[in-house]
Amino acid sequence: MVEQGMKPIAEGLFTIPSLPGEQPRLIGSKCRNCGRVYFPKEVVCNACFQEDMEETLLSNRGKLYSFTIIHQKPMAYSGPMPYAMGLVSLPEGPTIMSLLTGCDFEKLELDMDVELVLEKIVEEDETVTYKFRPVQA
Amino acid sequence: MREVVLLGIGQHKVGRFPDETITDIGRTAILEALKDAGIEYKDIQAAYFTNRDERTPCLGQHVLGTIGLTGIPIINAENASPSASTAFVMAYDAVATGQYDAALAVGAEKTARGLRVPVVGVGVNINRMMAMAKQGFAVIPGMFALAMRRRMKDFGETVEQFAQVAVKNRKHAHLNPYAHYQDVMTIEDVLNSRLICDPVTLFQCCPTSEGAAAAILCSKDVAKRYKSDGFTIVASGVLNTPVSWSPALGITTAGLDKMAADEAYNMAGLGPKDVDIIELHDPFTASELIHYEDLSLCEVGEAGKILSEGKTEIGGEIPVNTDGGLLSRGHPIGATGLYQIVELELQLRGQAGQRQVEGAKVGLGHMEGLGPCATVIILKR
Amino acid sequence: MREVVILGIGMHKAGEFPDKTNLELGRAATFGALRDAGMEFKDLQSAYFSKNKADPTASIGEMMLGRMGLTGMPVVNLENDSCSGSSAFWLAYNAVAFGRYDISLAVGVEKLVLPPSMSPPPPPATEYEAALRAMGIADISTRAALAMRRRMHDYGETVGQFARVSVKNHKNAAHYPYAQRQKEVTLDEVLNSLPICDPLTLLQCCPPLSEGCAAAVLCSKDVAKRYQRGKNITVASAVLRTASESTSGVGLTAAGLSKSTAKEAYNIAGIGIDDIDLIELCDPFTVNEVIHYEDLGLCDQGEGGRIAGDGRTDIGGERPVNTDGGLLARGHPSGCTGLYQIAELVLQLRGQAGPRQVSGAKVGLAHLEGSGPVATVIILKR
Ligand SMILES: [Zn+2]
Repeated sequence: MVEQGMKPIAEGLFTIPSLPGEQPRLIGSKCRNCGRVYFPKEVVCNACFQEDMEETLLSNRGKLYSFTIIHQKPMAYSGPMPYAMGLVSLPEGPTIMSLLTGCDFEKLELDMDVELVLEKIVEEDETVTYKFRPVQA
Repeated sequence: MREVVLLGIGQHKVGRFPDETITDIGRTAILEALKDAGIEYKDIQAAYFTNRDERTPCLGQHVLGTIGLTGIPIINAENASPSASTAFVMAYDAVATGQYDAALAVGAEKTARGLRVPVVGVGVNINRMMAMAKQGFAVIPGMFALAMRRRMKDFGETVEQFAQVAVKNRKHAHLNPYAHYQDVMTIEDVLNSRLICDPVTLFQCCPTSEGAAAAILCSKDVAKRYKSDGFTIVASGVLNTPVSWSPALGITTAGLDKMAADEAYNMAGLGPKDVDIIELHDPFTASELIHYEDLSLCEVGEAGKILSEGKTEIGGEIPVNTDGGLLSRGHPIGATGLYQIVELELQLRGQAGQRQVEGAKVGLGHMEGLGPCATVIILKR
Repeated sequence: MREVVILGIGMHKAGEFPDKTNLELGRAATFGALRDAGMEFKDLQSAYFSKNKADPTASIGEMMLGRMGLTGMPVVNLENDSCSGSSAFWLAYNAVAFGRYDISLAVGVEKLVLPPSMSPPPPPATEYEAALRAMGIADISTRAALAMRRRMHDYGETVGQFARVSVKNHKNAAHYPYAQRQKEVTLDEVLNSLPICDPLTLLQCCPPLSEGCAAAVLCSKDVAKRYQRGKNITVASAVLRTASESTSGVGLTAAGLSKSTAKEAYNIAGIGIDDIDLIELCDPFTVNEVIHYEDLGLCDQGEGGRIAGDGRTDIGGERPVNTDGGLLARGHPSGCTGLYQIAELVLQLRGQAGPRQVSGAKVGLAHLEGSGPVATVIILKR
């Protein structure tokens, strides 16, 4: 759970809820001209080349497009091993690379419903990031 | 080979921009060039992107990808200091030979601060390279300190004359809002600045800067679709490497640069007397004097004299580095050659504001760098 | 546009060479190509030198070629991720085809200059990429694993089918003296090798470190007459493209960029997949070879896995793929991989490929795709 004083892994990627019961949201940008949605935010629409983007909050539910369990520790990563990551397709269009949490590796399935949560990467560090977890049936 | 037109130019300010990524800096220059050319990004058929210090692969795709995805070929090139001018020559060749009708040349840099160590990583094993570096040999200003000493003995040039180069270029930069350093300084300021390697002082070295500049080149037919008033023609675009090796290469006079300049004059059907304005490679004060001679502005050994006479200042016979040069406009390595193009074009269009050189019709841009390699580009209005 | 001939090829073995300098590698390939072309260094009019962007050496091409001869020719250093070598080839090809130069050299080198401890990975390009790294989800191998699982779900492919690609390419490389891995592997060995990210195992990945150098000399047809011995190998098309739409997500199982690049190359050459006798394609991971079967038109979407299993891309099969072992076994020195592909096609089209020879090969295709993204497709014919 997110507590006061936690710092986001990068600015401008997601909102941190300030009220109880509020959901975190990923921050994307939407082209005012053609409607295409980007995550993370873009300045210029690379489909229609217009410099006319507005910030938009993305759905916090999506479908698991694919996943993998990572067995070899990559550099810059200091969390537990092995761990799960996946690609999540959001209804607005973007497909997002994300860590997966709250799941039994054996029970992950393609196209299952997943929802956004904010969590620490490492228990000892206050940095939080976005992750997706299977929606409880 | 067909005639090539310089249709548009764009630049980001030179300096240090901790809050901007290389993508932000590069995009600013490209969007400005597109606007200046009156062309849309989708009409660009190829892009030549240069950068020196980053180690991210396909940086050009990253920068251009934030503007649009049109499937065009993008080449990520590098040629030490002449990187961006190499991008210009590549774009020029592609349009001149008919491969493309409209091409973009862009350079962007986020340079690391501090003294540069030339990474001479060819034909040496790691142990020997580390031994060299540990001895402190491999520092670039040192090479120019050697050149200064030699010129002082051979030609009677003085430390004040070298300092005068920095003073002149800063005076020019004072009139250029895009320059890295704009505050005027005196000969005393230059000579009393921190000693780097005797007799080179800090203000006789160019800063390591960040920035981006871009140019759009096209065939004359295509140019007419976008602009009706006058065009700047690329009269020559030369990229060369040396034909002979000498231990003094780059020390008192660089034969390579003279060869590139002569070839460029030849290609343009022009001589040094026809050139109204010059942007040349001045990472150190001594380099500017050496290159006066390479570009045939004067005889070998006369460079200090024409500087002292004021010939190369704005208002003089042949103004050099009117935007401040590497010394004051700054040296964002992967972009510098295109900053020269931007300045020449502004001057040729009569849009250089307070630093305008009256009636400038022909401009020359020159870069030289490790390799070694050199570029000379001549623009004609 | 004029017809362009590949007059000479040269390469150094791919592998790890801690005791050699980059100049030794560069000389072996450059002089090898010149010797093969029957040409002298001074005959070259321009050079395109590809390298890995992580190599910090400034103007490495000038420095290296300058040690072989000083001729005043222009040298351009470039990089395009996995497509670096093929981009150098593309530039040399265009310089000759459009009449800028008559003779051009494309050469690429990959050599660790600094010890790994002194050359950390490139800093992240964006804050977002830094975040992905800290989350441990930025590695390219993860993308391969995600693609495998999605394909297994969508098309019913099996891990065994993917592993079969590795078995085939290692078998091909076993007969190639310039390959990095010259040892055959069994299906079991591939499947039971170190798990990287499930279902990807170590032997389904190209070697983590490859050094090497390869070169090609290109010239106009007229000039070729002055030098040529034997049959000309000509360039039927050379296409370099970048993305024309955002590839995130959908780019995972079918790379639209490679498909459009191949289509353009077929069009320019005026031929189709049926005319191609052998293929060198981009296989950093086994799944990429399967995906690119579809992109290049060897089979329909979703059939890639089946082809990998049925032997038709083996040497002796209908259309052999990666006869030199591909990135998986020949190795992937990314600064010059594209030029190793050219070298293999030229050897095959000349009938000089020894035990790997594809009999009667007349037309060959080389394909690469890199981050950026960027893709190249080059078609050669004799
Ligand atoms: Zn749009």
